[in-house]
Amino acid sequence: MTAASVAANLGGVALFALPGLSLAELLAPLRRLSLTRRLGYAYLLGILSVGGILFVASHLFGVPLCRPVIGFAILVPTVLGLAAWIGRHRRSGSVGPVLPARQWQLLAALAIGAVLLGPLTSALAAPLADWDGRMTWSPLAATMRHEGTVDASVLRDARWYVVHPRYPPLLPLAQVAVQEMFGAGEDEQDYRAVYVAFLVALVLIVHDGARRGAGLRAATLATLCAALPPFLSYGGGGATSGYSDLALAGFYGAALVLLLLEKPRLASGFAAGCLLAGAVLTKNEGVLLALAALLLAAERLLRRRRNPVAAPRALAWFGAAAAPVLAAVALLASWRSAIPNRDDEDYFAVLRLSDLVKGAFTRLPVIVPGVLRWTFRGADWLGFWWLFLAVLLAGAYALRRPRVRRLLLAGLTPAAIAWAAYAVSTRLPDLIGETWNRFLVQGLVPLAFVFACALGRVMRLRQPTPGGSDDSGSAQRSS
Amino acid sequence: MQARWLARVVFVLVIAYLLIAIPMGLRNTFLRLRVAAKTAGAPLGEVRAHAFGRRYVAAIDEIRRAIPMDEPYLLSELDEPGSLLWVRFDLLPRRAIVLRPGAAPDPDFDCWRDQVRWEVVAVGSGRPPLFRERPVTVPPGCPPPPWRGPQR
Repeated sequence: MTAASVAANLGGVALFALPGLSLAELLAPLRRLSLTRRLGYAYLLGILSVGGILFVASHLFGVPLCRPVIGFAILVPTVLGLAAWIGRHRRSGSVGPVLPARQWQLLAALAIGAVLLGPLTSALAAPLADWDGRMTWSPLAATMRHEGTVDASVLRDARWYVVHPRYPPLLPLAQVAVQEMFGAGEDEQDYRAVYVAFLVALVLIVHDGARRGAGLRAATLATLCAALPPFLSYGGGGATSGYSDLALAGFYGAALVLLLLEKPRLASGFAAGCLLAGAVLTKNEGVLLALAALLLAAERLLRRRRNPVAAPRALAWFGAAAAPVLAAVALLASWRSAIPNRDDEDYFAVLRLSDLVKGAFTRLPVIVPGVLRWTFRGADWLGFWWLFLAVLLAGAYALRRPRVRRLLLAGLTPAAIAWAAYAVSTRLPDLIGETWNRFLVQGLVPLAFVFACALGRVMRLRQPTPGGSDDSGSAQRSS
Repeated sequence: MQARWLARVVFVLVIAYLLIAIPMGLRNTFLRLRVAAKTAGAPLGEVRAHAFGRRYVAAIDEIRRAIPMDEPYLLSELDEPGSLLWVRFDLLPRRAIVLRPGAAPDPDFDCWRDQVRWEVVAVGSGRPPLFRERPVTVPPGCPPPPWRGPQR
């Protein structure tokens, strides 16, 4: 670790945070948030905008992945957002008041910051040494950078050895952007902090989501609990690795917060749709998660169908969310069409309904013990999921709110995908060990939201009420 | 009353979890900082050698010097499955053609294989890969491979 490599790594994070913050300035539901609450969404939007522009430019227009083009991809959203910010600043004259943080909030933030300093240090001090990072994402990035295109000849000719050649390329493109901008040499891994920043973004989004449903105190406590499991920092799929699960968890979770907790307006729908598009372009499961999120949004839409004022607005909101997802799916399909698949499990190709239904039940004796073992493994989660169950049991009343139930369903969707994969996989026990923890990570934002709501209920219950009765009637019931 | 009792127990559990998890998280950070301090300012080669072993890194560097970026190599592995992935990553962006034992013959693949000048064999984790230059032949009826450029 040298000063130059630290600077390049942190600069790499800024390459996405700056355009992301600018884009957040253009989207009303994000603009309203304080800087700390906005930062997580902004980082993900920055990754999507830079990676997405490079993907479209390279695949559809044959533009090379070189420094000027990457600079342009960073500059365009940055300038747009900056112009919007300056315009608004001039009109309003001053920025809104910043509320001072309380001491216990600061302490919680400091504790989380100190814990997250560990994976950052580890990522900067040691070379990439995890399985998927070295097998899939970084090789894809190195190939694209070397050939200067997302449609690399190595991917398109089946004789070359590439593992998972059709995996979505958003994170490899983000890696290319950082490596190219800082002129990284053969062994210089200037993209490592970009992966650590996904954990920081995830924690910020967990906090923002939890705060919307459970209030500041419960949200802070829930975020602190959710940020501490060592798997998130050091596991195979954690921040020090080159896996894409934290990024997927961020995109999916952020989209859910905007889609299911924000008022259904055009801007919130579009922002959520962009984040879901990010999920589609990040990992294979992303398309299924995006579909699940849109289904949950559709259920919310159906509840408003009889209101003559709200129904058209909600329809526009849903359309704005679905459009970016469809665009991302189409772009990905177009890119994949020229790439022969090889060295890939390709679950979609081997999936047959009869096998799925049969395997989902006959394999339960193998799946259930495996899943339980990994969920409650102390070294990975420090008992977080035990705590989750206990809090949920004590605060089960929180589940009466429709939006909490929706988020619980969203949080269980990655687990359902895992179950389907385990039902048809040819190497079952190994696959559970390799993937289950990562599926838990993918559902972290919605599950943490449910945890926070239940925790909020627990915190209210434990305090004596003036009348001496339980305060079950005083819980928030908004949907 | 029962709900309040349960809530108090669960709240105590939350506090207990934090009292265990926060010090453990801080300890993990401290350990990483200590390791980082030891390698601070060290050249990249030294950091790689520290992580993967001196002999492994030396072998990789030698192969990198021998195989130009635009030339491919044949890659296989001995007994340890997956060890070729490790070596392949360290040799990127050089393109690999994997030799699979028992693979069905494929004329296209055979045409390329015989025209590749370099062969690397992954031995196992942390162990230096084997490397050799092989004689190149153009099988009858095969066009020159793309990495050779147009025939003069």
